[in-house]
Amino acid sequence: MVKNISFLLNGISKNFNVDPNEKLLDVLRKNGYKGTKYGCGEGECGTCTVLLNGKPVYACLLYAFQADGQKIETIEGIGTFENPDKIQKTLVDEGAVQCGYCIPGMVLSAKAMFEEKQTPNEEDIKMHMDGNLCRCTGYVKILSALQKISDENKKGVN
Amino acid sequence: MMKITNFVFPKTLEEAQKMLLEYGDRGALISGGTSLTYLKEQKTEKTAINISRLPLREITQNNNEFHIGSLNVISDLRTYSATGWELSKVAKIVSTEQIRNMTTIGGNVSKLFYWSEFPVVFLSLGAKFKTTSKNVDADEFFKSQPFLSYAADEILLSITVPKITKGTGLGFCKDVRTTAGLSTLTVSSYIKLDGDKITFVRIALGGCLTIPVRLKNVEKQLIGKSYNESLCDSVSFDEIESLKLLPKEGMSEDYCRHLVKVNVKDSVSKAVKNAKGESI
Repeated sequence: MVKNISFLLNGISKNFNVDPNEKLLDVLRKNGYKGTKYGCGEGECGTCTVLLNGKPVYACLLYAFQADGQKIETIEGIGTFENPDKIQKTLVDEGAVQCGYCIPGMVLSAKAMFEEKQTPNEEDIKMHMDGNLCRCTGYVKILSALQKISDENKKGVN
Repeated sequence: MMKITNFVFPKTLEEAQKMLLEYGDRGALISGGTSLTYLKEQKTEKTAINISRLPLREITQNNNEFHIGSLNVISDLRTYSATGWELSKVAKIVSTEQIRNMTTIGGNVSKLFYWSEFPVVFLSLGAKFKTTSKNVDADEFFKSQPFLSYAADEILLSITVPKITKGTGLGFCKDVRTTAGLSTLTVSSYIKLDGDKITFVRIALGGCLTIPVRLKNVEKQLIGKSYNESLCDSVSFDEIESLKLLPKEGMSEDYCRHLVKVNVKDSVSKAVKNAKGESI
């Protein structure tokens, strides 16, 4: 049975025909939103992170129908190549991106963190980012880049 | 994992109950849905009855208690703030931020997994559970897998926990291999003090057990004693010898029993500090 669902995807209302058993990750990727990566498929690695009503969730665990009527943000809705989001720019500037596979998920988790708290400390950053694995083990630079944004927020730097 | 072949969104509690009766074994109540990942043995086709839109997602308080709606996710418990609310400290070390944003507290306590932290905490706090058909205390609720005791149309509505007031304290410990890993051993202690004297204590153990249990003999030995750092060293842990523990991550059962003692000692110490208003 195929059923229709609709949700706000990166600010635009979208309709999708989905199999009730399909995960949101599969629906997104099938429809061209390939910035949401497939990693472990069992809620461990965080490469499939999307924002559900502003909060990071694993798209590999979420059934697509659970997104019906909700607000979903993927990496495609965060900045562009020409005009990157502050988090994206800082990660690049700080040399925090290695293979890059984990970065879309990292960016989305960080975005939700800064929405909740503009000036997170090290403990806050580690807690908010604990669901995103970097297989290159590049955590030090990722964490320091996020700490830099927090420090700039504290100083009121835009 | 079960195969979802259809989904429905009840708009009211009454409608959800009606659907549960109508679909029977062909229906599966879903809120956060994270536990479905672990139900790999179920290959049956189900209609998902998604109750996530029902108005059961708020935390309220009265003089002595907090009432937690069953559809609050773990992150709601992390970010909630009020005098006497200690559950943020537990919520922030549960799994990962993504899981905390998906897992509802109702699902977390209804279908127990060995790693679930909150059932252990609620058992120690003597929480009260309100469903559409009954009110039960934690000792009764956690006698077996809670969802197995639900009637066909029964839905958990809320969980009530006491406020941590002056002279009372909650101490929580868990063992994990990595920060975001599954808890392999969880101990929670809820304590009331009169000066240094322990007047009331409930200690719950999980992680190495699927259904959490209270360590009632340890509790008995602590009540009426004045607390000092070596108090727990003089306590007999005979009752854990009879428990069939499920050691994880390469632990032997003996090592697991040793860790139970260490974590009970630490959780009681934390609860005492909490009761005295000292930072943990």
